[in-house]
Amino acid sequence: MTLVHHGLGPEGNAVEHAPKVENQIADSMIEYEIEPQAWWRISFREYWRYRELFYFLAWRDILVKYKQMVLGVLWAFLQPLVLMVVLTVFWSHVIRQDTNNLPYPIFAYSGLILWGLFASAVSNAAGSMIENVNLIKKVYFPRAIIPLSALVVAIFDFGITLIIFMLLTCYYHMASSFLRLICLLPVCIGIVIFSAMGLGLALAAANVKYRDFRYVVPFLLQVLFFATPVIFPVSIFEAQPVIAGILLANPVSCAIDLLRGALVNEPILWGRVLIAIFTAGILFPAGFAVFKKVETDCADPL
Amino acid sequence: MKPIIEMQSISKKYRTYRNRSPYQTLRDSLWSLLRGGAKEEPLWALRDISVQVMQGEVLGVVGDNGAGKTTLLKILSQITPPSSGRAIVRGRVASLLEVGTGFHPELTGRENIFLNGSILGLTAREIKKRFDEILAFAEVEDFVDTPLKYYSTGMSARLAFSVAAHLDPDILLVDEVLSVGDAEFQRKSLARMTDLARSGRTVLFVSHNLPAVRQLCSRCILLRDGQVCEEGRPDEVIGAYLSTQTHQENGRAIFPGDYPRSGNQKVRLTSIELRNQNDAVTGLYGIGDNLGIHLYLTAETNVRSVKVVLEILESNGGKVATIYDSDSCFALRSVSGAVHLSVTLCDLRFYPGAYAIGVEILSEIVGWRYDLYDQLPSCITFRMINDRVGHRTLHRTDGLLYLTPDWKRHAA
Repeated sequence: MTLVHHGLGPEGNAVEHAPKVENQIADSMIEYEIEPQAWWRISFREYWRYRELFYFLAWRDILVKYKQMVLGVLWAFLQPLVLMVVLTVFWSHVIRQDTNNLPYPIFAYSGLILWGLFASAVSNAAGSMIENVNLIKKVYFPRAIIPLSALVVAIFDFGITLIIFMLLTCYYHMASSFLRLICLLPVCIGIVIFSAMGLGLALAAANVKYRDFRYVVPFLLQVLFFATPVIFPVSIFEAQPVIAGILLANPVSCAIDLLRGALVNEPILWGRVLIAIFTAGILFPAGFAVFKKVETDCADPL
Repeated sequence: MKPIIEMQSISKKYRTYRNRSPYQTLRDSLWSLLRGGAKEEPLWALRDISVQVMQGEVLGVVGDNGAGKTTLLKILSQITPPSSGRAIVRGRVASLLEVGTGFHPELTGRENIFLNGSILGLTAREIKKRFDEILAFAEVEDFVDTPLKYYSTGMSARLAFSVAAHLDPDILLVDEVLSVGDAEFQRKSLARMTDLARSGRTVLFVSHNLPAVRQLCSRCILLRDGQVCEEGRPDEVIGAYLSTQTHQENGRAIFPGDYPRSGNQKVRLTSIELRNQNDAVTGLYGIGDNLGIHLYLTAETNVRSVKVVLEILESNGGKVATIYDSDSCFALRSVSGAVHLSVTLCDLRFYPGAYAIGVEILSEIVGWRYDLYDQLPSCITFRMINDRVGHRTLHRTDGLLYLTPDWKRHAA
């Protein structure tokens, strides 16, 4: 929806054609036009105006999620931790592979938490539009707020798992490179979040357009899981350049490798990191564009 | 002074597809790609609407279901864009297409107030400022930290309305909100709307509640098939609307075999007719008229024990009466083949508004047990029209029954 503000935004006060003495409208003058939509026009000012709703929706999702669980926040700890234990038992006793001087538990855990962030962010965002149909049909706000606020829950969960990660690094005395870790961690998280936002927005749009698309999402995530070196190192595919290439092109896999590399003073492949940042930087606006295109007639198909 | 809402030939087209579910699925799309596209049939929900609303006006929008009233509000509240034309809106808009949008059962009353307020466009600061007022208006102070799922329906409706009532917009768009909730709720919300209107807010009010429209609005438009076909004083527009109502509530309904219903269908209602005292089939009645309900039943086999129950419902679904055949010492006993039955209510006394009739056909009740043959809840509607008796105007908020008992003055 295009909003053309002739005044000064919601709290703006001076508008030349509305005499101030008139009434209460004058001091909260907003004027806008409702027109047939052009999907490529984005009003960032409008998104800014609706930032509170964004917080509230994210806050609701977090509250509701943890109120419904008996274990509450503990669940967020447990999930990757249990997986890590299972994988460690499996991996270290069945198949032995070089994990680049990293103890397997921390190797697996670092992959699992970043993947977990990505997967839950994507699937939350993808399902969010359908879950909030009642809002979308009854109230106006920039629609992208919904999938974006759904991401916040995933980020919140990730924050919890990150605490364990820090404890693990201390336990395994990997904290020698703590400063390095602190510097590189935001890069990893940024890459994952931007990629997830891009994919999540596109999938949310697809979910709105095609009702049977939601069956595709879990499947897609499963495929992506195996295209990401979460539980195995990329090095096991050294002999197969195609597979290795696919793994390397994946920005999430780069983020995971970067995090692992940060733990063992390994030289960072900046070229790869830049490619991943670039890919994530393309994914986000691309996903957003897809979303905007569908958003235009969002309330109708829903 | 410029109008606060300026609609300039707004049109809205919906795409509909023949033989297709309302939802698009990936499967359908791939399929139609292969076969070369499904035939698209445009449906014009609104056509060339140009209306101006001045500040402080209360504009009523009336019309049949599907005439485009809700679509118009959805466009003005930006939920859906117009296909062509444009509207200029000068002020802060709050749209109430329903109350309690976004309420979540797991959250407490307090949390829901903040969430709902934010969804309706209040800032956190504004909500904090009005929080106590909202709570007091809703009369749920003691339950502020109780999750909404433990609230009664009435409590959460009150809370929902209370948040909505404390919005402070320049323009309020309201759709049928008054038709939910109990009479008390309706009275309270109507009073609040009147307050808003008096304080100079601009209100766009969509409703089937014609007395409320008449009471509240300063101007009215009548929509038919997406076009404005009448505009002017509420009395005139409502009158024009009611005179065209006959085609919708024509006093006859036919129920084919695949009509959605419950019961085992041993005895079936095939059609129903409403006739007045002149034996004319009609859906419009005035006070004092007779309403003849004609039921056409059929049974494939001989069914021995048959009992008929009628329900009369208000437009909001509340029951006005439940009528058993045995109340009038009537018994159908057995049915085989076709049966024509009539039930006549003499001297109707209902206040103006729409009423619905529901039919239940069941076996004789033995103990607590019975067989349900057929059940059609609210299968036909009729409308009480003349809302003026003598010098008095009947408002639905005053009551349900217009009674004229015997009054007598006795010597002291």
